[in-house]
Amino acid sequence: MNKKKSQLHILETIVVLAIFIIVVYLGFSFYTNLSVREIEDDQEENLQLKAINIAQKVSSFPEIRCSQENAVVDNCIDMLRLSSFLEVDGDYFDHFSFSKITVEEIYPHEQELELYNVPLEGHSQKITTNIPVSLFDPIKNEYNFGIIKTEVFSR
Amino acid sequence: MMKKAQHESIGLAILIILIIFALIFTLILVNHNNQADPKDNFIKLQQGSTMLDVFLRTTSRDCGLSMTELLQDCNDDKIVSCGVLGSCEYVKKEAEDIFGNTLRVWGTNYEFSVSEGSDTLFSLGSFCNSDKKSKTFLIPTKSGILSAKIDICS
Repeated sequence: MNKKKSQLHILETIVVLAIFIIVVYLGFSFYTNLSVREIEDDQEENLQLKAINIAQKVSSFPEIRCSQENAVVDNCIDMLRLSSFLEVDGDYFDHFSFSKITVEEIYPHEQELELYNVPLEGHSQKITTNIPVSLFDPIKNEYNFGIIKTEVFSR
Repeated sequence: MMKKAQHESIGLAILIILIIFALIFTLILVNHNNQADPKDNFIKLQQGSTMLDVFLRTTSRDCGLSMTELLQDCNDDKIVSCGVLGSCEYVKKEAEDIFGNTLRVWGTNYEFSVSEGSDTLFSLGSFCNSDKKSKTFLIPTKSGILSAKIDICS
């Protein structure tokens, strides 16, 4: 009788230990998953902030932005300056890193001009940011509607 | 007997601690998922204001006037006609065209309206049921102040 009671006791202890180990294992794997996800989210957030930073730099880039009587016009690109800028073979990697920047005219005509393109080979992530911008034609004195499309790449 | 009771109390305490840990982890996870995306916030804030600023400055393709000038005519004399349309209908059509090729393509819901006081000249897009970012530009006209407003839905 006493032997059977002891066996039951041992069995109970084993079951409790097994359950405890399972719970600890589940908790640990849950915590690990959470940490990995947090790191991935942080990486994505950093890339998003980088995309925003580049988009802001482009929209206020002194080489192409509009000015009237020495005053800067917000959210505006001078098309004459832009075409001159496209002809110059400058190195803007320090400003724009691995990204692709295009100026798209939406209205009245549809056209696309590539401002900068340094792709990252084998990239796993791409963040796209669109910012509306006026495209000023100084010859016709007209403002067209366009967007600056910034694509930032990351591994 | 006393020792056995103590052991069972310790077991119960461990169980409660484990449940509390699980709850804390769940709360952290839920809170983490609810955090606002910094890019989305920026885009919503910027899009409303930039979109309206750029739109109002845009020169119309058929009459050479800016959208602001057309809206002023729409509220005052209604003497300008662009092609076959009057200034009011023309601005509405071009706004539909521009916002349709940008915001709608990007999957962003919006509502654009132009009004003078409580009178709405026209409105586009769909009403935002949830949170929204709004931007209003005031346009002076002969008969009063026009208000051009855009809501970017979250």
